[in-house]
Amino acid sequence: MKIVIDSITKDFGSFDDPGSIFRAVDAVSLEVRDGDLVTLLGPSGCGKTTLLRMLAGFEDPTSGNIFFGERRMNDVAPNKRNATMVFQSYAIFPHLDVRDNIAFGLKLKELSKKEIRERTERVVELVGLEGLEERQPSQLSGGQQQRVALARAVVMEPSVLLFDEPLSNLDAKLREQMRIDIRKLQQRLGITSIYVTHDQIEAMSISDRVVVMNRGRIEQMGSPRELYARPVNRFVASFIGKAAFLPAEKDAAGAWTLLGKPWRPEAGEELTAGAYEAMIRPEAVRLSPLEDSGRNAIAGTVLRATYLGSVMEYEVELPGTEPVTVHIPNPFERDPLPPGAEAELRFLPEGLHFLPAEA
Amino acid sequence: MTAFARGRREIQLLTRDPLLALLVVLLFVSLGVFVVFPLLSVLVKSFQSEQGAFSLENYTRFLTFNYLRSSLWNSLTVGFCTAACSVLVGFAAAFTITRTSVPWKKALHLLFILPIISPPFTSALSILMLFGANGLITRGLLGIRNYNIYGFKGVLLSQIFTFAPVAYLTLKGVMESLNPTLEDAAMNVGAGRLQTFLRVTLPLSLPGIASAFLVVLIESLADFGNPLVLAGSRFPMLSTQAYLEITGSFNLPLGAALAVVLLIPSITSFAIQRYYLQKRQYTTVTGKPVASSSKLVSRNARRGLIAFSAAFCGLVLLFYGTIFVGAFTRVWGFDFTPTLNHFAYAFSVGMGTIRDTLIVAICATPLSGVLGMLIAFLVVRTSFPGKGVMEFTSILNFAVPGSVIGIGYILAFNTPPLMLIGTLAILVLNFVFRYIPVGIQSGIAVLRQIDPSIEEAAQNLGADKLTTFRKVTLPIIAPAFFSGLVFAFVRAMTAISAAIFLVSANWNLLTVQILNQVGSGRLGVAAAFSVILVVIVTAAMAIIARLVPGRAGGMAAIQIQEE
Ligand SMILES: Nc1ncnc2c1ncn2[C@@H]1O[C@H](COP(=O)(O)OP(=O)(O)OP(=O)(O)O)[C@@H](O)[C@H]1O
Ligand SMILES: [Mg+2]
Repeated sequence: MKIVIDSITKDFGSFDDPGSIFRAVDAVSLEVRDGDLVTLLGPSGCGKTTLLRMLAGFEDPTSGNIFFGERRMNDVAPNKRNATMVFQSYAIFPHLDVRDNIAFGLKLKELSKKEIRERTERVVELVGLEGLEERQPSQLSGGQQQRVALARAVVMEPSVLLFDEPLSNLDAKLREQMRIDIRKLQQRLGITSIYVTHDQIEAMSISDRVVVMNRGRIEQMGSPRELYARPVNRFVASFIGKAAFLPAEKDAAGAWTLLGKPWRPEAGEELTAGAYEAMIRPEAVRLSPLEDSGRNAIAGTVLRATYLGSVMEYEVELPGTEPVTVHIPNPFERDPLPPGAEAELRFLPEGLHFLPAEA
Repeated sequence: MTAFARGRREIQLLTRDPLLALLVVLLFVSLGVFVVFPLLSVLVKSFQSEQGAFSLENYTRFLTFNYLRSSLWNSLTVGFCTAACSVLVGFAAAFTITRTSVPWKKALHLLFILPIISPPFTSALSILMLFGANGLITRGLLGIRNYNIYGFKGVLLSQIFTFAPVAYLTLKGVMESLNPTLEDAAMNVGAGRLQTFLRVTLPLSLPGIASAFLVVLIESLADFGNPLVLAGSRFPMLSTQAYLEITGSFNLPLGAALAVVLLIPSITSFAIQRYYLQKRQYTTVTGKPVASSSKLVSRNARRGLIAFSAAFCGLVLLFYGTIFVGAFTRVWGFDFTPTLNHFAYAFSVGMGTIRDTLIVAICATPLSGVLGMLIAFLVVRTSFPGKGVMEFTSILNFAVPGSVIGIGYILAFNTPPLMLIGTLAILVLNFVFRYIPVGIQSGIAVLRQIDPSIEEAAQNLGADKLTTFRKVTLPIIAPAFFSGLVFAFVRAMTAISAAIFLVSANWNLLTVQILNQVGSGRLGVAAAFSVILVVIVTAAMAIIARLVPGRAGGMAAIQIQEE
């Protein structure tokens, strides 16, 4: 089922005291295609949960509309929306055991006993809670509670699934496994889903599209690849992955300068003249000892070299700007450059992206 | 969005849930009829002459007659002194229980709160038996003839005994939720014990202390039983004076005016307590008792506290023992031969009363429990126009002295269509609406501790509001619900101040019966009735405790939320 969010806004606070009003979600518009999984990614407090809660019907939008398919949902009661949610705080029913928690919604639908049992069992297996069906919630670990919450929502096979950081309490391995399982399940059932997370890797690996939010607004929406390679601004660029931003300028004749020095970037031909920031991802830099070759390289000083296993991470100081992080794959190859060494940096044209200069 | 637009929006939301809307309307109507209307009746009556014309004569009489004026003064003096002493006693007891390692904590706690569940005359009666003209201590032990316990000192002593436990309970809650780590932190940076106490413990519990003070003040002003037995005619107090004007002089308007005068300090204290102090409590309810450090209390201080607690417990035991022995003693003070005569007499004259009392309590208890939880649920978890008004009116009766309510009921319900005087209904309704505030308050407290997303999750899975309440909320709040029931039952069994206006030949109550016996000097019979009452209450509490679902599901529930 397609979800259309049309310029939705949510204000908190007392309307009798306009000074206290806080805009948690600010004119957000978003369309989720049928069967897609879209992640909301953004810093804490940016309005992700609030947006989900409006979709589930727990908060009424101050303005704007929500459509599931063709149906306007604003006035539909939460229990009639068929959009189950995995709550950030789990919200496990404390007086019911694991099985009854999971079967809660099915029982309300008055399905046959047999069907309830079968569906519950299937989901229990899916989330790996076998053997714990009789447990009281107080006897579960945080991660197990989270899986109960997940199972309880998924077992309903709703038309929309809402996930609010469903994996935040699992260990890294289980998180990876569950991520894959959720994605498989979601694709198999074709349930349109919105998935909130803090974790950019999770967001990129699971979603059809990612929405980056900040202060109640959408900064950018796109496929993981688009967001990483072509962020629209510095916020998005630094929220997804690491990046350095170097001041660059293009003059009317089409000649570039970087950090005030002439530069041939082999990219950005289509841009108009003006001030830019060149966004440089750590893996799009090549680093070599200074040879003074002048071949379009930028000279810098190594501040720090850290061995990270799969890569060697350098912090390189360039004159007149913030240090640049550089990842050199395959660190076995040669001896690392020691701190204090002079080095030259070359940027791969595919990894270069220009942002309009920010004030 | 304007307030008006928001109201309209809330009404729209309500129409989504017609059952809920119906419930809200019903509640508003019944609160209006059984809480607001009686109070307004008192107010209106107080501005009438005995002939019924508008007049200020009742208030001018109050101001000009010394005797009446002094009743306000006396009530206030007793109120402030009782509150101060009770808070002192309560704080020491709460501190002992929460911050020291005393033996038999559980038993101590039970003894501290025993006076809360006892009939209103227990202490007054024992004080008469111990310190009265023929008192065991005054005459028997000290040989003083005709010692006069009546007046200020008698009422004060009796009220401290009755209300210190209330202060204790409040302050115990405050101290428990004060994180002892703060005290550890203070000592960790070099504060001594006394400094820690003075600079951390005390300031942090100050709002709670003030709150307990006001709660006791309200209760003391409203108290009826102790003044009626112990004030004596030379020490008039407001709540009893209003009663005497009505039943003795048949001057309803003057009684109403006195009730209004009594209402002023009560409502003021209530407003301060509720709207000022409650916002200033530093305590955060975590539900999880933190391991308390006993390093704060030095050895000597601990000894002092234990001695003090033991003394208060001794007093409780002494008072109860006196009643108990008195019930089996031929003539207290003169002839201590054991006898069952008092019980025989009590059962012969009082069987009907015992039955009436039980019927009233059994009708009122579940009604008040359910209503209280419903209102708590509506207030915490839904929004509808006038929600604040509903919360306010439903807990208003907490601040309104019982005698004021009693007067209100006889004024409001003596004409058709609501001609209820002399019926069972008026007693039951009075108890229900008088004691829901406590149920509401504890319901609200528990509900606020339950993560709202638990209820949202139920809705999210397809449950409507009422199903959610039935299947999720109710099971979780069951323990609070049942303790609300216990409270309502105990109160229905032991209340006097409002009920005394409403009993009739057909429907009489045990407490009124006890009062009559005290009034006619039959202390032994009064003691016997008190013992019967205590036995019934204890038995009922045991039964209710049995009914509580065995799994402590609800309590476990709350704890998970805190993790
Ligand atoms: N009921 C409320 N009343 C007032 N402000 C609120 C309310 N609920 C949320 N907010 C505010 O709205 C903003 C967005 O909150 P929200 O819970 O949506 O953030 P989030 O993006 O989910 O954050 P996190 O990643 O930490 O879960 C926050 O600044 C929060 O303080
Ligand atoms: Mg959130």
